[in-house]
Amino acid sequence: MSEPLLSIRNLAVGFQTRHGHSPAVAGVSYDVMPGEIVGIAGESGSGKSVTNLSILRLLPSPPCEITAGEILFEGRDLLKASESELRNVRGGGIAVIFQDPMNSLHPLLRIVTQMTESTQLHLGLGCGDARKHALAALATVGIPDVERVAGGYPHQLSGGMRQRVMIAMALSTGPKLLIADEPTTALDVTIQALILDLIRKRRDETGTSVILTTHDLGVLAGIADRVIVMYAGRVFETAPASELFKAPANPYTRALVRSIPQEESNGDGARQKLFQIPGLPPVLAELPPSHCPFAERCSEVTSQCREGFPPFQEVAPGHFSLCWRTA
Amino acid sequence: MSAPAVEPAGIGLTGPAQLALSPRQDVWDRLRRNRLAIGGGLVVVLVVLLAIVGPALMAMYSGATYDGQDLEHRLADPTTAHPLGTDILGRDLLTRMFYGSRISLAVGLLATLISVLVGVIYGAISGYAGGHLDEIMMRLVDILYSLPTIMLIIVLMALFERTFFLLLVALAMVGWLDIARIVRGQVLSLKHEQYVEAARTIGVSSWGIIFRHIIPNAMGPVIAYALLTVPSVILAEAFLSFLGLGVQPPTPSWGVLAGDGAQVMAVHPIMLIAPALLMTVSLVSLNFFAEGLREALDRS
Amino acid sequence: MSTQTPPAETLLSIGNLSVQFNVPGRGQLRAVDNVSLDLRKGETLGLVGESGCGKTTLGRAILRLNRPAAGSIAWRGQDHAGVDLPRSIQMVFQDPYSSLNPRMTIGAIVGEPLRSLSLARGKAAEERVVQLMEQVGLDPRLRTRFPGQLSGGQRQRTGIARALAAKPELIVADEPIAALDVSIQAQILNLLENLRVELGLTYLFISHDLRAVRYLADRIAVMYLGELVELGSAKEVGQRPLMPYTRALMDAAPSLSGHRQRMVLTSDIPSPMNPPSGCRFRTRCPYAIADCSHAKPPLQEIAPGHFAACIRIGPEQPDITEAAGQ
Repeated sequence: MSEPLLSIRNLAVGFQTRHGHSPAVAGVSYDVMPGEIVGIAGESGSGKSVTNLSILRLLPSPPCEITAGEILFEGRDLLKASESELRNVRGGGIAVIFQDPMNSLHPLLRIVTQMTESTQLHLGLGCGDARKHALAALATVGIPDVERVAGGYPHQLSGGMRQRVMIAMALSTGPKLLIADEPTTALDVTIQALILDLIRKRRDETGTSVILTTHDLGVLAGIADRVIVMYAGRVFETAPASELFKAPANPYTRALVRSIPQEESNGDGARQKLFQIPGLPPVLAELPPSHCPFAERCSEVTSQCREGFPPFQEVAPGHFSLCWRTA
Repeated sequence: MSAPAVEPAGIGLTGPAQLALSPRQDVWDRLRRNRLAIGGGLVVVLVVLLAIVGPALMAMYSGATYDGQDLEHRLADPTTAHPLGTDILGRDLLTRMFYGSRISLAVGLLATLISVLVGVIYGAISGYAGGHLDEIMMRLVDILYSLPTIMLIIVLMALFERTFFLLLVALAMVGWLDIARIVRGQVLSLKHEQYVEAARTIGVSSWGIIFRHIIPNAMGPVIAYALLTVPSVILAEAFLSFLGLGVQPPTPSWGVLAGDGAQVMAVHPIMLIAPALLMTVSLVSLNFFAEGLREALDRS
Repeated sequence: MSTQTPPAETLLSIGNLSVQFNVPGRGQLRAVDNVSLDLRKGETLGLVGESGCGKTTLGRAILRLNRPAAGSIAWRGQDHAGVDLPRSIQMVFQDPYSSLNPRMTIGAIVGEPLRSLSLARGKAAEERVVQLMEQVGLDPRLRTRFPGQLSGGQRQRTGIARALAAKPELIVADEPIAALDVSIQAQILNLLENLRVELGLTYLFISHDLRAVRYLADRIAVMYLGELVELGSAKEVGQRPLMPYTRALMDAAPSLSGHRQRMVLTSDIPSPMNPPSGCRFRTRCPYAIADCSHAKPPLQEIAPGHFAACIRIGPEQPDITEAAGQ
């Protein structure tokens, strides 16, 4: 039984807006083991991106405030680390790739310059070594004609290529944890398959842990070891991937799964109506603390759901659900 | 009417978007927080109010009018009857300053309105039409841009009969070129917005698109820029009047007052200082307000 | 395309359509290249493909937002150019925010077609706006609000209501759910289907989301780099795709059953400015042979109603893996 690589405990994050303090994450806890791919699924407003960015404190500090919790990376609390310690971790122990690679790459610097910058900084490589390292990294992610790509600029590459460059850059310093924030949302589906394949291979070869966030549950089904479902700034369910999709315990997860069109929905004859979750995601600031945040939209709601905040129960080994129901 | 196909998303449901303000409220809310802008705005409002009611108040107070001459008290120091003294013809300075504010502000506002009207229509047509028409129209703007405005205005005013209307038209030339360019730039980018395409698919005519979709969304920077033009127009008027080419006596304006004051500056400095101070404070305040408005509109 | 067996009437007939763009400094881009397609009344035709395939351009050409370089579009047998388009064909746009004028109220947006097409005025127009909003599931009290005050799903419903106001027969829906959350997507898909049945609409459903297309569409057309490469019933194309590209596409679609992709394409999509000669998919196709680069494969009917453009398969041998001996 090994120690978790990353451990988030009771994280709470909010924003200062003109209406006052607006919470985005309200008590999130989860662990990432070495070599594990953790998938986080959630819709807009669920808090998944805010959680990710808070790990490395990448959110601008006003208006964002981390109001509670700890984030332990290899035993050290990142929320209490100094700026220089944090800089060491960023790109060194933990690397991040974002949804839109065009905005993460410097438009005026050559690819090779951007890549060697981080290896020279974190690995202390000299100029020549850093360049060789960069070319090798580009080759591992399947980029053809590495010399030409390395000498070029981001705008000359397609979306898929840019994302692969981002991955190569992120992985070039040999991080222990890769945070991928909606990395394939903006990509074509065949390129998405390629990128996910790449991430999985990398984990298989080097044991890098991955946190992969997405709003598409299907993406996680093929790649994640464990899945966390977030809603309204909290973890609603967490379970090993196979178990979560076969037998989701939380009504929100169940509703989400049922609202995705499946092959069977369009059989011969009439098209079955898709299950839909009524209403809209809530505003966290307006949620009463003694309600389940999903109560207003839940099709399995009972009176108990409005009388007290639901417990986070273990419904099966390693399978937790935030719900009053135990089934 | 059949039952709704899905559950209506009722008005009571909350979500981050519902807390958002309408476009107008949003701008006002942002403006409200800019103390400098609000301060400037209040000063301008005060000056405008005084311009409107000032002359009447003075008439009630001491019977003074802007052209009434008190020949026994010429170039007088401030007294209770004449709080800021009198000018070389015995006219009450304070009353003339109030009345002058009226003239200067009106001229500034009206001339700017004309330049906005002309500039917006010109720029919108040029930008929406594109192609050769756009090229020609913009080259014309370039040519006019290179001519020295002030000299043109002076020539105009010197050649033709100096009516109030001519003054407005001449001053409108100060701002319309820039406005045309700004509007054209806005239109060029707005032309490709999806809601403009959507309007085409539902059969809206080109004029309808320009007036209902493009211009309302282009007006943000235009309003702010126009407000910033007002001080320039007022200054241009002041300059003209100083030269005797603008507003004709006995009608006062800030420029006229400055001109009169300059003539007796050595013996009776208050005649120059008071109007100059009023003009400076007003224009600076207007600038603050216009800047604040521009910032508020910019970030929406 | 004449070998179809249509009991339903053909609403829209696209013949050898090509649309090209002039890219300054780099030449011509053939976004749509020689595409022929028919739309039958009452059906939902799904149009799928990835970046650069031309599906959006094709949709826009149908709305006359792009001008074709070659080919024809016929509406009910009549040349497209002479048809009163807004009353027949409408579009639902992808981005629910930028397709609504941020300075117009919802009521004004939904009611604009009534004014521009002279369908209703004054009180009657207002009543119609309320009726339309209820039909798409929007609370009529929202009509004084602005788009920025509505959620993504509500904005998309507004766009649908606006399209319906013109009383069209055909609606081209260009990625109508792409920008929405998963739970809202189901709401909109259900809404679209209900409206289709209720109002007798025909849809051209353009999307890259294969699950949504397989659910909503009766037939699916697959495009790649401007060409039509496969066409057939949704069930056939989804479960038994003939083209290697379609297979890769279906395999790549994320599925909750978590199956690992059988076909992972290892290279990028070529630039549409410079498409490969012959079969455009050959640079990524695991079954490509030398002949694939010589001539463009014609779209042939491999099975009844199921067309594909690949020289290695035919009616006698529809399965590519068997044909390739793998």
